[in-house]
Amino acid sequence: MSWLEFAGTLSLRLVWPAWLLALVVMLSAGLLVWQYHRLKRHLPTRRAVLLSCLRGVVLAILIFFAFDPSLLVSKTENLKPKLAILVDTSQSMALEEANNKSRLEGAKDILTQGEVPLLDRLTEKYDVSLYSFAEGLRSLDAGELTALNARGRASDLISALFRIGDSGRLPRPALALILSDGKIRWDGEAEKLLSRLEVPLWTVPLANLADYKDLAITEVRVPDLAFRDKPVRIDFTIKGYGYAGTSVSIVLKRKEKLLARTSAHINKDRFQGSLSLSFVPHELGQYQLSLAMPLKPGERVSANNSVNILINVLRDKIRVLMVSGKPSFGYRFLRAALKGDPSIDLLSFVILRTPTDVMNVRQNEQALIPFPVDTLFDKELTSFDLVVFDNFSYISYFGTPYLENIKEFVKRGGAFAMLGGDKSFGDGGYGRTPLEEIMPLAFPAPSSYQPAELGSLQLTKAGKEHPLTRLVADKEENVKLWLSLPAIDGYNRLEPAGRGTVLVTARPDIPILAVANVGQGRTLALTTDYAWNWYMGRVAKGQSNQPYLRLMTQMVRWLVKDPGLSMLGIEPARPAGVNEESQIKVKLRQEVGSEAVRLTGWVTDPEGVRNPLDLRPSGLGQYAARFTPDKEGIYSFKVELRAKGQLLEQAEAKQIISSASGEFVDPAPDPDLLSKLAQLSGGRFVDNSRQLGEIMKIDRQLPQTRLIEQRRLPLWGTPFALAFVLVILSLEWFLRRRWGLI
Amino acid sequence: MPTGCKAYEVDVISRRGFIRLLASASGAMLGWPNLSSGYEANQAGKFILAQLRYRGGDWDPHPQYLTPFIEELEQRTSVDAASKRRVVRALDNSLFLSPFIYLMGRYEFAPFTAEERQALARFLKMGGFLLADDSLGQPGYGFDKSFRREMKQILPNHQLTRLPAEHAVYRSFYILRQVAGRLAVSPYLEGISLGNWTPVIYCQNDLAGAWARDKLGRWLYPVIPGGDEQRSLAFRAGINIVIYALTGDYKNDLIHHPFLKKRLNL
Repeated sequence: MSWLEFAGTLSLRLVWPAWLLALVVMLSAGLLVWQYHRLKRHLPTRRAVLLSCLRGVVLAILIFFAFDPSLLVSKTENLKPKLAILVDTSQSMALEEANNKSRLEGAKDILTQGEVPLLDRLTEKYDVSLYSFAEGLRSLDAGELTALNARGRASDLISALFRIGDSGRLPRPALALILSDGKIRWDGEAEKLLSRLEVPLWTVPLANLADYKDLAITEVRVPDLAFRDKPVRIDFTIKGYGYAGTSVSIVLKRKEKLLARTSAHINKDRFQGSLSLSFVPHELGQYQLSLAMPLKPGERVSANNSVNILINVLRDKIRVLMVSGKPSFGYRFLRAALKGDPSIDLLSFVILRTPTDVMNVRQNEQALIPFPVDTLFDKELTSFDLVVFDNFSYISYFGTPYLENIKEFVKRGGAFAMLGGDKSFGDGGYGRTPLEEIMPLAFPAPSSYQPAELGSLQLTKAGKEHPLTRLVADKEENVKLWLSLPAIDGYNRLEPAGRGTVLVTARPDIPILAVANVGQGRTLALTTDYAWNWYMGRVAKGQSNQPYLRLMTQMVRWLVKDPGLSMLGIEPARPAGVNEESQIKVKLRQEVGSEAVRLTGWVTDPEGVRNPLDLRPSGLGQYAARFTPDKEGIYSFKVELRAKGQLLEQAEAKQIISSASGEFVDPAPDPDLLSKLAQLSGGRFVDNSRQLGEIMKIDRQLPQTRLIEQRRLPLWGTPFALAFVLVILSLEWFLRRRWGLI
Repeated sequence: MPTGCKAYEVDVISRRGFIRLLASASGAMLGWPNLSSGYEANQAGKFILAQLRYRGGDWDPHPQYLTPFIEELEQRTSVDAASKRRVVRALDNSLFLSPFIYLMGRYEFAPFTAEERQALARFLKMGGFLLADDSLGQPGYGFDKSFRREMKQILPNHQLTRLPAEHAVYRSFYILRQVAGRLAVSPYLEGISLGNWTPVIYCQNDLAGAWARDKLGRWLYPVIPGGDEQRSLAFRAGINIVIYALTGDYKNDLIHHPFLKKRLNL
């Protein structure tokens, strides 16, 4: 039922300038005073006053018209108060309660069950709008309510309410009824929005905290960066509901290996405790960790008893193990170059005497130490980032099993370099050993060392693009610099192998520097023991020794995949869930000429299925690919950069994809928050159906009107105004005639 | 290639090869070592001892020291050494291709020119190594006087000082508790250090005199005050100095500390 109401208000606005109006008022007042004195000569005072007043009234009316007096007439309609009903459809609403019904089912029952369903009763009293909310807001028809599913990955009630209140399409409700379990986003911003909303909230809890039983690992805090051999501390919170008086054990594992363990005593029904676990990573790269506690009987949710963690372990220093076959200038200059870099931690062994050398002094007069091959190449091998064999033959010191260890070390992410000389490559007995299998060059003959001068050095096509060989920033200058480096007088004659990329050759086309990616690691072959001549040979000409120093440190940095020398970088995808689109970003170093290289990428899902990434340019040296995971687990992304078919560099990144959203981290119902929302908004917290009935009684307190029409009626143009002026003027004329002035 | 033409392979000598051949031939005729190139046949990758030749004085008082010393060096260590020395002058380019320079003498010698001093300073500051050996063994006289004068000019901001007992040169191969040569003038070595590296080491005990043998293998000079141990110490000192020049402060690495402490009874 609706009815109409009229109302009118007087509206004034000045149409003349204020100074003109003031002048007219003053002139009128002066005229009245002058006329009053003239009348008083012929009439008694009372009659003179009366006539002056009549003339004054007419002047006042005329001056009043200068304000354009109008009458505003409005026509309004009284409406039924608007009621917004919001049903929470986030994932936590799918949890079953003690009555074996989900929380969402409970919400549907409240609205649709009963002799006269609440929704019908509310529709009679209110202008009802029905919505579901999760990450966003969705308007519903009453018929859609029964088919509603709880699939939302978050629950943002306040933003949803604000969309109703602020949208031009959706009128602000007078009242909102919220059906939720209380697992909704609540932070400072939400509180601020609520204070601006001005809509009373009636909140209805859909789960009983007293019946809820669960243990959860929440608020896991992992450092952004972790360093090898330095303790990593993982802080987290344990929440317990309904398990007072019990204890729980929490373990930190890497795959099946136990890294740390702790326990917590749950001393009350609503328990919350902060704990931490520490471990020391000894390897580089991404650690896939799990933090878990056993499931207790009756737990409502099992997914929140464990958390997957990815930690990227970096090196604080590059640990290099170098073994030199004999004291040499090559060793000393390389040692000086590496020791001069504060980020490199060099452990070197020089074979100062061989088993066949004469030792004619007592042992305590020797300064020689044992060569701890077992420790270096078995127990502690993985503690190094890079192993360098500098003109060193293994034959007198250890067997091929340790070479196999080095091969596996490289495949798992380590680095290995062999420097030339008469004890290297085939001359060192490495032909047909596990090391030859991972080297970028093949050792065709058992004796390959050539003590002969070679022609000038030149960069190959791959070498011109490679960061390892970039000794000066400018590409053309770099090519010239390599051509100008002093010639070398001794080298190992090796041949390119399919797995390697030759970066530098000496005329006529003899490989001098080559690299390879092997498994997760990298290898390098420098086929000369005369590289120190690039240092002293330049000094002899009065030139800088920097190219040698830079090359040696860049060799180390490239081998250990130092990000500063990487041509490729993958930005990990933002945390995403199953069926949520994510973006992978790939960055190319500026020095890499894009016309000469080809970038390809793949994504491998948790079951090992590999699919290509559609990498498209997204900016200068930047590429991006979109992908939508359809499984839970760890996805790995791999990109490769090739020049003329030769592999220059690979990069990898991993991302955890979880099916459960943050909704299941701690899905315990939160009636306290619902109560707080009701209190802050001026509404009511309704924790039983009898109280819910009271919502029917508040309709008259919430009158709402809607403006239909508004008109402006100018008063000066009305006949009543003209007639009134004429009546006054006629009366004045009549009195003057009667009193003999006319 | 135009049709009908026939390709012939002809052995030709390049201009560079011709100049090298000419220099070698001239050197051989004059009885001098080949100074024209950094490379000597079959010596690539080997330790080459270069001896500095200067004006005045006596730059080569014990020419027979080389073979016995190189033989001992090769027999006792894994150093692969060239059997011949390289003789260089301060302004030769090959100075920089021979980062180990041996400077010895008996008498005062003519001052180096400014250019020579500059070249030697650059050599020492940029990675070269100089072993100086006083064959006279008279502090303040002869070679000692000239050498100290020149060092003050070549590295004016650095002092020639006694190398402390914990210096890497005393433990680079043998553990040296004292230093001796043909003479036993000074039981220690002196040196000029630039940071952790000592590019100049000076011995006043005439090391080369203790090493020198004649062609029949007899020692050329008696050691004073005498004894086999003194001659043995001379070889040990020479070997330690060469190993130090090739490995730097390697023996100061932490990995060596526990072993060396044990052997030094520390």
